[in-house]
Order: sequence, then C-alpha cells, then structure tokens
Amino acid sequence: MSRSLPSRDLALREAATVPDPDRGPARANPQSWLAVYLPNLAFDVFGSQGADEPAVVVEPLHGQVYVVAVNRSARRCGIVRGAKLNSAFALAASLRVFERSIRREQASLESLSAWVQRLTSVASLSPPDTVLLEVAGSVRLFGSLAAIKHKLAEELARRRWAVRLCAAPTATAALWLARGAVEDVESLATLSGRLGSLPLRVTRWPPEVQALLRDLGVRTIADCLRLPRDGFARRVGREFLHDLDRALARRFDPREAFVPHERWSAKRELYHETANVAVLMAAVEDMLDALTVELRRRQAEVRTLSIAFEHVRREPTFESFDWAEPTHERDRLLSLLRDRLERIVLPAPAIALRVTTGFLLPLQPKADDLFDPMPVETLSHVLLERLRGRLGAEAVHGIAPVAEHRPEFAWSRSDAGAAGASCAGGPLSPWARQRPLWLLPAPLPLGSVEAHRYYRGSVELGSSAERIESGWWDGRDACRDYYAAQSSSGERLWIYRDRRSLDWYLHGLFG
Amino acid sequence: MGSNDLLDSDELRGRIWRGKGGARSARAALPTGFIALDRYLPGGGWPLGPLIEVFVERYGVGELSLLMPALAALTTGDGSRASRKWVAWIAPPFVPYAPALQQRGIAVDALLLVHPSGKECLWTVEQVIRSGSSCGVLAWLAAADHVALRRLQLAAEAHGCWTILFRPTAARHERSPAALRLGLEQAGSVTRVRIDKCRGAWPALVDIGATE
Repeated sequence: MSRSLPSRDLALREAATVPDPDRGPARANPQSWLAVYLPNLAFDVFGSQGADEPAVVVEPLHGQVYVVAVNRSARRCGIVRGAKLNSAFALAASLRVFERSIRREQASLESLSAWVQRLTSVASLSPPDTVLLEVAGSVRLFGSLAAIKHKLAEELARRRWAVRLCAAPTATAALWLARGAVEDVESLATLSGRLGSLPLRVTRWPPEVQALLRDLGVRTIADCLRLPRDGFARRVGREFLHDLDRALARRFDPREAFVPHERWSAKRELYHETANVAVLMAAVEDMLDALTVELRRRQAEVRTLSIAFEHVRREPTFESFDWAEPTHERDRLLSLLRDRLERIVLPAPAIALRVTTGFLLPLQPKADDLFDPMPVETLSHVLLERLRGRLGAEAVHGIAPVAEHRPEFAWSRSDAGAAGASCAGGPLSPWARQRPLWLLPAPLPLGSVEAHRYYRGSVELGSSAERIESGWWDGRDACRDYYAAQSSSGERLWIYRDRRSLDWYLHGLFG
Repeated sequence: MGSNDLLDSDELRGRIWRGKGGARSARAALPTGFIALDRYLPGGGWPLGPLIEVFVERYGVGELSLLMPALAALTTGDGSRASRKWVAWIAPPFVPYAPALQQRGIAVDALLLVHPSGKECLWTVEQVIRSGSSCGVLAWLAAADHVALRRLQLAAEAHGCWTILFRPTAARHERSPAALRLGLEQAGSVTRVRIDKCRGAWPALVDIGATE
C-alpha cells in the first residue's frame, strides 16, 4: 500500500487521539467487493412508462419541490437534477411528474439483493441506490469477475435499470469508484492512487463538510489524504477520517449482510370436496410433516402460519394462526392447529388446502434443562397461544396501572407475556388505599336497575369525600366526589357524585 | 427433647401424617394472612392443590380481600419474571383494578386475565391448570357439575395449583369434590367466614378482622 500521508510522524506521536492506521486492518482474507450502483433507481422504479416523453421524479425539500431524477428526453430538454419543478415546467410543458417513492426504491434494492443470492452469499444494501456484493469466493466459482458482471448486467437489462458495476478490494472504495465511474481496482497497491483521482462528491458527505473542504482547496480524495490526520479529524470530523481509512482498508469495514425474507408454502389437492374435519386435519398434518423437515434442514422457525381452504366457485377461506414465540416443533405447531380446526365451520366444502408460513426466522436454540423438560417461560407461551387460538386474542390480556387521576383511566390492558411488560405505574397517590379492587366497566347511576344487580337496600356513606377533578383538556372531563359506602345488604361500594349534574353513580366494589 | 416435642415442632407439623387430627394435611399450604383462619385450616393455610369453593351471592362483600394476602405472597414469590408463574383470573365479573391490587402488594404483571365465553369457561380453567405455567387460578364459574369439578380437582392436585372457584350461593347444596367450601357473611364490622366443608376439620364459623 502506498503511503500517502506525509504527516505520519505526527499521527504516531498523537496516537492517543488518532489511532495509528496500520494497527487496525486485517488483510488475512482478501476481500473483493462489487458495487452495483443504480444511478437512476429513483426513476427506474416507475418502470419504462412514457420513455419517449420527458419525465422527472421529484421530492419536496424545505417547502420547494426539486427534481431528483430525469429521463433521457427530459435531459434533452435541458432539465437537470436538482432543478426546481417550476423551472423544469418552463423547459418542458408536457412534463410527466412522479413523486419519489423511497418505499419502492427500498423494495427494488431488496428484490435485487434476493436475486443476487445466486451469485454470492454476502450482499449488503447500501441505500438509497447501491447493493454491495462480496465476490472473492464467487470469482473462484464462476471463473472470473467478468462472468459475474455479465450475469448481473443481463438481469439488470431485463429489469431495464440503469447500472454501473465497479469492483474494489474494500466495500467503501467500490461504492465510491462506482459513483465516480472509474474502472475496477484489483489490488490494494493501486487503490489509493485510483481513489485519489475521484472528486469529493463521491463520498456523499454532508454538504457543509464538502463545502468546508472545498474552502480549504480540497477537490479530490487525494487532496484529503494529503491533509494531516489529526487536523482532519479535529476540523472535519473523525467519522470522515474513518471513512477514508475504511476505503483504503486501514480500518475494518463490516457490512450487514442482507437476509432475504422467505416463506414456506405448500398446497394439497383433496380427492373430493369435503368439510370433514378428520380429512382436512390429515392433509394439514401431512403438510406440517414436510414443513418441520424443511425447518430442521434450514435451521429455521416460524411464528405465524395461515391456511387457505379453497372452494369450488367461491373465494377461499383463510384461517391464520399465531404462536407466542417462534417455534419449529411439530407438536406445538399441530396442537394449536388442531384446537382451531376441530371447531372450524367452513362456508362450503374445501377442494384444496394451502399452507403458507410467515417469514422463516433463524432458529434461536433454547437452553434445555436435562431434568426440567420445559422452562416456565415456554410453558406460559404455550398456554397463551392455546388460549388465544381458541378464545381470540382479545380475550387474553394482562393489566397494568397507569399514573392518572381519573379512576377509569388509571389502569390499562397490557399484552400478557410480552417482554418488558412491567408495572410502571408511577407513584401511587396517598389516596390509593381507598381504591376498590373491583371497578365497574362504566359507572352506573345509583338506584338504576343495572346498579341494583350489585347491591340491595339503602346506601350509607362511610368515608369523607375524595375530590377528583381532572381531564378538562381531553374532553372526558371528570369532576366528582368519591365516597366509600356500605349497602344495607353488606356490599361495600365505591360511589361518586358528579358535581355538575349532582347525580350519584356506582363506580366500584371493594371486594 | 422428647419425641413428642419433636413431632410438635413447627417445621414438622403438617408434614407428618399422625393418624388423627392431622389427616390429609401433609400437602403444602399457603398462609391466608388471617391468624384465625390459619389456625383453623388443617395445613395452616389455603390448601395448594385441591379445589377451594367460595360461595358469593353478590360481589363486594370482602371476597377478594380474603384472598389478597395469599395472592400477594404468591405473585411476589422468589424468581425472576421469566421463571415466575401466572395467577390467572378467569371470567372475572368486573375489572380487577390494577392500582388497588398494586397497593395491596400484588405484582400486577404476574396476573393473566382471560375472558372466555360461558361454554369455554371450564375448558379454560382446565387448560390453565394443566399448562403448568400457573401457580394460582381464580375462576368465576356459573355452572359446573360434579364430573367437571372432579376433572379440575385432579388437574389441580397434580400441579399443586392454588385453585379458587367463585360460585353462586345456589351451588352450595350441590355435591362437590372440593376440599374446602366456604361462604362470607358480614357481622357488624368483622367479616365472618362460614366454612361448610373442610377436609380434616369440622364445619365452623371463623371471624376475621378487616384487612385494612
């Protein structure tokens, strides 16, 4: 590697503030990164519609609408990236305008990353417009880098996406080279020289950083590398120095590998239409056998699953199932399905079944105890999913206190079994001792037929009033005086008087 | 120390079957928090395992307060949240009020509320007990026959689960395999527990003080 830092001695002396670049890198496994740069992705995601008339993709910024991508005929009219939409309309009145869709761009990158899994196992998204592939192993498999690039170019031509491919020994360098439209760099020895000739904009550092460097007379990467390291770190920012180090393989450059989302699906045709549970269950069991084999092979788990019952001349009926935690065990999968399927009522006999799982999740091995076959946590998850499966998700929940003065809002439903569910109720008010254990779902007018289901006879006030006055800001204003009371039949009641209407209400029972 | 003293020591009392008096008290028990009641009950507390039936005609007569000390002990027992077991409330008639429960020392996050429809109620109770993930069950059962109760009894005994069934007063005269059947009465300011049946002891009336 060429040494392009004249101030190395200074850097070594101040090693405490700026680590020495030569200590970090590991070049034991030479890597080779291929950047798949999609310069016109913002436009390409809208397909090739209207290719012959001028069209632009726009994005609002600071109250103005700017052009972020143009097609060829728009460029011919003189519209450039970064122009305001109004000036673009001045140049081409028949302009077609698309609003930028980050979601579609992300989906496109993900679909490309899923496709390139056939070329390499390590693909990494670098939004908004690049996919990075680690191809050192693949070059050996496919014979040459050119073969890989050829396959990629074919696929991208099929998708009609503009692309620029560039390979380099580091991921950051590949990214910058692709943006700068420079040839591949094969060895580390030539890397800094080739990177050096790139203009500063390929780094995509924030505009103010680029402006600062421009003011210092820095135009290219090489100019950057010529600056003293410690001064660069202090005046420009350490993270940008790290970027340079990563590009030159002086620093680790870990990239998160893209893991494609996969589902598993199987379809089973029945011999004849049937609504017979035993027949349906047998078919489902067969498919689950195949599923568990597949899950074991892939070391994966599933958390959700849906079954579509297909009918003749009718829309399919869907049933979906949720487990409290991802699982791959046949018995656990089956017990929930069986509970539900035994009681299912189909609108028509089914002719085919399709089982589709949710995303396959990587297996999380659990620590098994030799003597205690199932930890309590698993047992409670099994219980929760079984109850939810049969009674519905709404019927099973936990409770949590809420710091709030109005009694009806001082508690909430919580998700039973969710990690981190805790009783963060805040400090209890000194009055909390007088709260009843039972709260009625809604206050009932004292003396009404409904309220009389809970007590008999007359009501005698027992305690002094507690005034609760709160909530004028959210429209559910409460302005009440609460009393503990006892009915002549022995129930201890919690009643209040609304201070506006002066009516009495039953709100709780002391239990 | 004579051998009788050893047998009478607190540690061993209730663990040894002594032919008379201490019959069937070998099972673990959960202190009720009321001295009079603890003294009466054979194991020195609520039996863990066999069913306990509580007959209430209307709510709000102290039926929950009776259980609060035991419930607090059960939910805040040792063990982290991950290894702690549920106390399930099945078909409660109203909203169990979280701030009040917390005030009485109950770990609210250990409570699981289940609202089954009437027909599913017995199924739910049995599932919760059999799952082995619950150490206590409070269930409000409208109707249950002897066979159903027997099933629950077997499940609860197998898992040592503290099982309280709240039942309408009308069910008092039905046959039941429960080990303890009791009702509540108000006598002035004290709550009176009317024990209709208790395995290992005679029916009695036990006065307990107010909880607060």
